[in-house]
Amino acid sequence: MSTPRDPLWSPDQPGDADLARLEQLLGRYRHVPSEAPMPKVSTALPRRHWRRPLAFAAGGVAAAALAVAIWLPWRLRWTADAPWPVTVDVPALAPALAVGDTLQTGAGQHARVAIARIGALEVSPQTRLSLIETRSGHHRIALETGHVHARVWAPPGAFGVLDGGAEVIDLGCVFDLWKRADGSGRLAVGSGWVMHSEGGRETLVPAGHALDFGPDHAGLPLRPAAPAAFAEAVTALDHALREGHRDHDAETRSAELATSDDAFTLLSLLTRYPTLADGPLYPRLADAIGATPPDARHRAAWASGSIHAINAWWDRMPRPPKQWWRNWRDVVL
Amino acid sequence: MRQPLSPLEIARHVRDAQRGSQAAFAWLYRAFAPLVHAIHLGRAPHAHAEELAQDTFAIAFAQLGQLREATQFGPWIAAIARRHRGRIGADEESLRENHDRASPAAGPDDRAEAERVLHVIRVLPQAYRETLLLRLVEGLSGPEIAALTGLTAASVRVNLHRGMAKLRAALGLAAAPEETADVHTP
Repeated sequence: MSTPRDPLWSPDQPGDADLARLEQLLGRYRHVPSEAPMPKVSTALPRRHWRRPLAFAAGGVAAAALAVAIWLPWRLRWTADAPWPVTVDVPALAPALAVGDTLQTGAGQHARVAIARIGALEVSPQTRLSLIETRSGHHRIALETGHVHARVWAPPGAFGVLDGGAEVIDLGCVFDLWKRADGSGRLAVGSGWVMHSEGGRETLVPAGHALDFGPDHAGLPLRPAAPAAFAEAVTALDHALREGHRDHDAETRSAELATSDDAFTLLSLLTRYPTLADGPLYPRLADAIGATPPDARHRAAWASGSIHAINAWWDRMPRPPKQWWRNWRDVVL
Repeated sequence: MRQPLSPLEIARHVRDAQRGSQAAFAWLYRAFAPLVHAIHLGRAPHAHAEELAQDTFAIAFAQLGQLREATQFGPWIAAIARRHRGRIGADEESLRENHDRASPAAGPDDRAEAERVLHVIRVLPQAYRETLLLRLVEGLSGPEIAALTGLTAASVRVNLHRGMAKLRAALGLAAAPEETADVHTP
């Protein structure tokens, strides 16, 4: 298989000047054994007299795994249109919420609604909601007004809240949703991720962020603890861009006032309006996510709307776990 | 050229390590650290790659009892390294300081150029990326790479040549005839 001359295969053979230069440049990154001591090894490897306790432990784990394997599908299964149990602090409401039914809490009245078997809704006073659909893997309510606190442990998309033309889709998490009579409201995510979808525009909202929305538009995910001036600048910039013009003052202020904790807001802003990449927000985001030194080609690609360029930086952010069951804390905490 | 590791040699050290031999652990670490380091360097900054490599060995050694095919230690630990991505967002500035200490002779232009080349390699497909890093960064020969990764010599040669051709093209360098002689780049 060997060829007479192949310096790439055999470093002992002299290569061309470019290969030699690449070797010289990259050799600096070589693993240096003396600077990296061997990781400590806990040598408690299995020995014969450990085998029996290990076998018992393995049996226990297998039994637990079997129980989970039975329980989990049962938990996710739900007969189509079966009503959801409702618990209320005053017995004025029906004990179940069927498809098509509306639940209305009065002043000072709370309710707890089971979301099939995948989670629960805490319903605050003065809230009005309806059950639209329920079946295995797909549960939807409509929130007309008021506030709900949702806690869900299920695959992404299993639970959602319809809001006029918009939809709030759970991706495995804990979130709060407020809705006013005029159609405006707020989505605040406590754990995991939620997708706000409106008119084909999807906005991911991660834990620790909130999104304000109106009857026909969604804002950008912002940290509630973000500086007020930064939030105002981002909101003003978003508003101006929706109106069709670029507010350079708001853009500059957004870049200047952003902290490294606001990286997700900047990323969402630049994703929604890629042309902003030619302004001050791009280098600010690059700095916040450690993507330095800025790459002019990547920046130009982003500004022209390249999905590949945008995804390259999304890949640097923590993403919703593919294994939704890893969010088990949402069930118990 | 150094002698590549033999499968029997690898298997013997794996079995000794499974029986608790510290010397065997040390041998496995010395032999496979370039492989694990190269995989992490392909996705993380330099100093972070060292830390991730340490973590990977700690994970692998703790699970060594589960490895059934002792000759397959290389592919096995490589899979662990690919799964172990650690914490994202290392401090780039502190990493650069480490990097400069490691190469005091290098000037700032060299450093920038090295970073640019590394950046280009990082966006190559995994097979090309890892093989090229083992060759250009760790200085391993084709047979040594094949022994560490468990790939056939033919696969390593194809990965080396195609990867190098892509790297040269991305950097605007002239192609080398021996790199395109026996491979047809798709």
